[in-house]
Amino acid sequence: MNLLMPYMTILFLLLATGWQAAVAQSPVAEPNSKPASGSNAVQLNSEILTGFIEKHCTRCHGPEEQNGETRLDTLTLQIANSDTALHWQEVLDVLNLGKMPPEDEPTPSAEELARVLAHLTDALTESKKRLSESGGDVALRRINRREYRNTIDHLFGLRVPDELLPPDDIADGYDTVGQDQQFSTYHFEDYLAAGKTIAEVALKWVDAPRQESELRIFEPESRNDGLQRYIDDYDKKMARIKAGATFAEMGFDDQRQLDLFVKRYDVRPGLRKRYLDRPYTDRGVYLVEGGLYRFGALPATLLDPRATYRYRAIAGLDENAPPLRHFLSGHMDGRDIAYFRVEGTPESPVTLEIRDQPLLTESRVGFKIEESKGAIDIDQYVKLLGGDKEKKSAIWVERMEGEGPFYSDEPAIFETIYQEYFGSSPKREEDKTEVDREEEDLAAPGFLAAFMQTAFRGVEPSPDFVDRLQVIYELHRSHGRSLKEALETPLAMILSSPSYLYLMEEAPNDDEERNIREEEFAHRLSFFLWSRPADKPLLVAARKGTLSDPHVLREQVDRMLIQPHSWALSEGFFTQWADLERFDNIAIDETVHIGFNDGIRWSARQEVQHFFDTMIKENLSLTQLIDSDFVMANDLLAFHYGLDVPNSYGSTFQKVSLPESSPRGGLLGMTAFLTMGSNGERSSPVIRGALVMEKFLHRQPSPPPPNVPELALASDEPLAVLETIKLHRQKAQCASCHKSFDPLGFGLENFDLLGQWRDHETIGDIGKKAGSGKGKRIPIRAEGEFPDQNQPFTNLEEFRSGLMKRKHFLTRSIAEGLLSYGLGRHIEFADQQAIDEICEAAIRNDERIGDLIFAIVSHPVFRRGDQP
Amino acid sequence: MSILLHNRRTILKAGATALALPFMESLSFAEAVPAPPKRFLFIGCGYGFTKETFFPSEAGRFADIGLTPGLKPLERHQDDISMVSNLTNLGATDAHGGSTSYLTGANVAGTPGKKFHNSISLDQVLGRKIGQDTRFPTLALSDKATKDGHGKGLSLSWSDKGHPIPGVTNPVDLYHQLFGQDKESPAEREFRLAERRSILDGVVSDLKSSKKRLSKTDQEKLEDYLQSIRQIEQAISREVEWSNTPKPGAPLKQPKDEMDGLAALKTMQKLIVAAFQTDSSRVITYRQPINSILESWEFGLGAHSLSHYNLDPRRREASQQKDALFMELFAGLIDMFKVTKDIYGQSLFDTTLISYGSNLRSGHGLKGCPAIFTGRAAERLKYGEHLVLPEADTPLANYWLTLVRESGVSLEQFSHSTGTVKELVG
Repeated sequence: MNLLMPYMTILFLLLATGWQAAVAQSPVAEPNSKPASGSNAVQLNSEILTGFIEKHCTRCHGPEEQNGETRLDTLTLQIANSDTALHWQEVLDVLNLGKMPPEDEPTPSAEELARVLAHLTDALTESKKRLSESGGDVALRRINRREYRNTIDHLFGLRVPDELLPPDDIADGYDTVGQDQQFSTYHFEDYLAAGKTIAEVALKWVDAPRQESELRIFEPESRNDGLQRYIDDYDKKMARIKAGATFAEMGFDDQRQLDLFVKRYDVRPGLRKRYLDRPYTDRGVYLVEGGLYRFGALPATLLDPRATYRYRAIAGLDENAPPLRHFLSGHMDGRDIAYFRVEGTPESPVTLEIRDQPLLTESRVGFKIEESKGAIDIDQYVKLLGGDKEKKSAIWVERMEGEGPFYSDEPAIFETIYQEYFGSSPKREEDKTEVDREEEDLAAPGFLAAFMQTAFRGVEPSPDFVDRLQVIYELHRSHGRSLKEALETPLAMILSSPSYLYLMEEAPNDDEERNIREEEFAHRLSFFLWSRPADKPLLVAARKGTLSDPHVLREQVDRMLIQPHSWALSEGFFTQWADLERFDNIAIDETVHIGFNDGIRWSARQEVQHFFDTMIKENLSLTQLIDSDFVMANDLLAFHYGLDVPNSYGSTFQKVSLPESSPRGGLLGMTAFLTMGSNGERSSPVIRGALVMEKFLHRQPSPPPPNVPELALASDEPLAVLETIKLHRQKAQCASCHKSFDPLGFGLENFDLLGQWRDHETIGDIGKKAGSGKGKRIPIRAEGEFPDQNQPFTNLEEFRSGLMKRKHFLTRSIAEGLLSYGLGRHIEFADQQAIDEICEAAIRNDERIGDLIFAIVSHPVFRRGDQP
Repeated sequence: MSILLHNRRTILKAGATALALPFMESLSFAEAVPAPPKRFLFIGCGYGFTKETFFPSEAGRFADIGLTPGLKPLERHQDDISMVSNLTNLGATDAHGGSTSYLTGANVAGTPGKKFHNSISLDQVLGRKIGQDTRFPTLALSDKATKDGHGKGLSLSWSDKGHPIPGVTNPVDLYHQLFGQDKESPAEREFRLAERRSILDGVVSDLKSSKKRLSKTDQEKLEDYLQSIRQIEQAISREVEWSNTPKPGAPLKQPKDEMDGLAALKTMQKLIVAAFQTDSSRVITYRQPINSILESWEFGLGAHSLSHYNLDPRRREASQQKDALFMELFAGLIDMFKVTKDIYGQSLFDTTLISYGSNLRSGHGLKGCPAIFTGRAAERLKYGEHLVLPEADTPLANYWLTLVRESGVSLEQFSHSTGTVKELVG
């Protein structure tokens, strides 16, 4: 069905011991007989194929006859090249299409056919991977969006919006894999344009004095004057009409317009009057979509992009506001930065606060709040949740505040270099003398060279490049441009040059070890853990050559993992491992599922990253992904999960302990994971099963094969999910793959489309309006089986403990993923031994994530460079 | 089976030959462009159609066999359109990717040593042959959508190295490219272009100095960078060449900034017509959105869900509706071609070859992809018919070769083509 699984972790070789049983069912490579070194052939299992071919194929495609010029009895079972792979693909295609065997031949049993199909599908998928291997070389890789963004933060202390950068590549692997990256003209154009924007902003602020922090207060009801003016104006006109003014005197085109004006008295000024008559409107505003006040917005001011700001809203709840409507979203120019839970009343409001650094493109933006709500029409929403049809409001805002700027103690690298060369107290441009300008011109080459060396991660720029930057600088100067104007393009060139954009590692000497140099190793490590260049302490250790000492390396790794920068590993690695892009692409109809909205979507995505981040910061075991006694939630998500959270009056994610009875815990209980295991209308055990199999059992389902006939429902009656999926078993072509993962998905059936707990499901209501009461309720049965040994489970708890028993697959899945992400290349057959060793080390340490990461970076494979 | 096997082997062989021949030699360049100019429009529609109600079951003239419910909206053009059955884009394997190799015919996933591979698309080949006399040798139009059944890529167009060419996704941007008058003075332009050239020289010098210390695979990666810089240099030269030729006056008003999916698509259609009409370009590809259109029509279902229409009667009905609505949009485009004359006074319809399709037939099926052609640029092609080719899985590349040659552009071979499709020619 609907399985667009990226080839994320490349191998699912069945070499690990636990799959022996499954191997007997559908072997990929013959167990325990690794191909000879250097060979990447996949061996088909003759036990499965030979008998089948003799019985069903060889009469027409054998020694006697070769119909269609095809002979199968002599076709080699060893898939060592694309030709053989294509031959077998043909066989698979005709079997999938049901074209062969022809009708006048004995029909194979469904079970027999499914076995053959499963085996061929797996083997061909595997051989496709093996044939595309490249010998373990780390192809030169370009920094991706995340790395570019973090590098700019490292150099300038500025935040780059993603939209400024060319989109990352379209490949199936991690965004760090160089082999899959391409470079086209638009990449260069985008980088140059981004470089110019960054340079312009950085130069503008580089010597601007730091401002005193100030508190700005905005009283939203100050706009009430406008409402009152409208009412007064209307009243005056009404009085004139009453006094007998004609339509022409009133400025209307005809009598009809005048009548309409009179008729609208109740809805236009009347609505405003009634609003102003409500309590507390003299010192605050009620927020409601489509109402008189939808937003509370702090007026925009000039923001210093080097600094952070604190934003506050002082708000309370309107009486009888239903719990779903207790939430505010906070954003900057459409960028979500917070979701708050409002408590209290207009009499005793609460103060909500968030801290934010503006993006470098957000020079004049105001902080805005509005009710967090889905795309459903407000009237319909109020009707469903109960509430006053005219007032509609749930939240009252008394005041908004902005405070800042707040600066970090340390100046950015760029700022330090700039002041070294040009001083820290600039003259105004018009005050500069000829001598000043000459001094600037003398300092410029040194400044550019010094910045370049840092931007190029310690690599000395070539003299030729330095000269050419100088040419551009002089071109601008000769056109009468200022120092800063003339530096802009050279800086943009540095930020779009190969030495900046590519992580260049020198080809090692042709010795046995093929190790990269120490400083390169430091950057490799830093890009792995932080998605940014190595910092000073790490570079110092590298230059001293002490990183090869395991104790020193461990210290550095531990230091790096607990620092905030390691968030990049959650954001970069984990979201890709967990396939969160799938979640981003699931459309949920918010008019039907009124509990779902942008806030839930934002928070659910953040939850996944915060959870992994906590695992990293606390060095927790990978098994926490299967089950944990806590979740990471903000108030909105805690509400979505029905958890009791102590008041925080902020939007931060915190560790929330789960009660003993809670079904949550681990990735398995997260909304993002559960929702992406749906088709956007209802939960999909098929997708969930495939996800569980890939992530937790480290067996990647083959991609959906083309040319398999579609399933069609025989009846128009709605079916339970379980029944729908049983259809898969009717056809061998489907069952061959689906029978291994569909049953896994049922383990999570108690979680609905939005990840909320349920004991029943309603069928036949798809596409019906929320609250229509349509559909039939049937109890959920979370029953299924594990594909190895067909071991059954009957509920979520048994499902979880089954996964726990198989935790070594999860370890391997994460280990391979991390290694691929960290090295920036696909994992290949030849890496299996290294991964075995890494996993063993991780298992010795209870699968703790920090220990696993150390096992990876201390393994020789992580130091290896390319073949020269 | 044997046919398939034969064809798949052909790709391998063709692939090998293409590698052996330097690119420049395999395509002959700079042939005289016949007057009036010939034009090509390729529309890629992503996911396929409803199997039961879109594809005609019998061969013959539409006037005789009638149109299926899916094709019905094209009735007013039924003598001018043809549909070809039994074509397959060999080498395409992505069950959700109707456009990745639609115009390239590359063996996307089966290339040794590579996870993903693509090759030059047909429009780019044509651009080199017939696009040199226009301001834009080719135009690639696209949509930001990523889940519309197109698969990987940024438009239907791919460069000679098989890299994705980004398409213009915003009608307003396209309008400015085609008709926007620049406010730059000649001196300003000269300064800008001089600076640009220096920038390119600069970054290339960084690349050349870094190149010495890298492994072979790394150097190959840097070649990509170098090549893109060269292409920008060529674009600058082109800009200089055209800098004294003013852009044509716009035959339509500047589009609004904010548009919903349907309005954007209709505007793109108008701009395609305007680009041909003013002879700004002669080769255009358009990777057409689905989801944004479904949203405008308030379907409440996504393109992928609709492609699995058999799971639910409601979806099936929606899928059929979608087919007809898209054909209505296509019919509207044909109307515009028929009533528009180019700057030489020729009918656009008579000078353009228009192709509409995808390499996905229906659901996840890649065999027997939908192929509709219209526009009277090729006199000898059979119009007004459903043509059923005698061999199942006739290579789509053969179809492309036939359309191109019959429109008067000489092309030896394209992608994995093994010859032309003689059944298309009457």
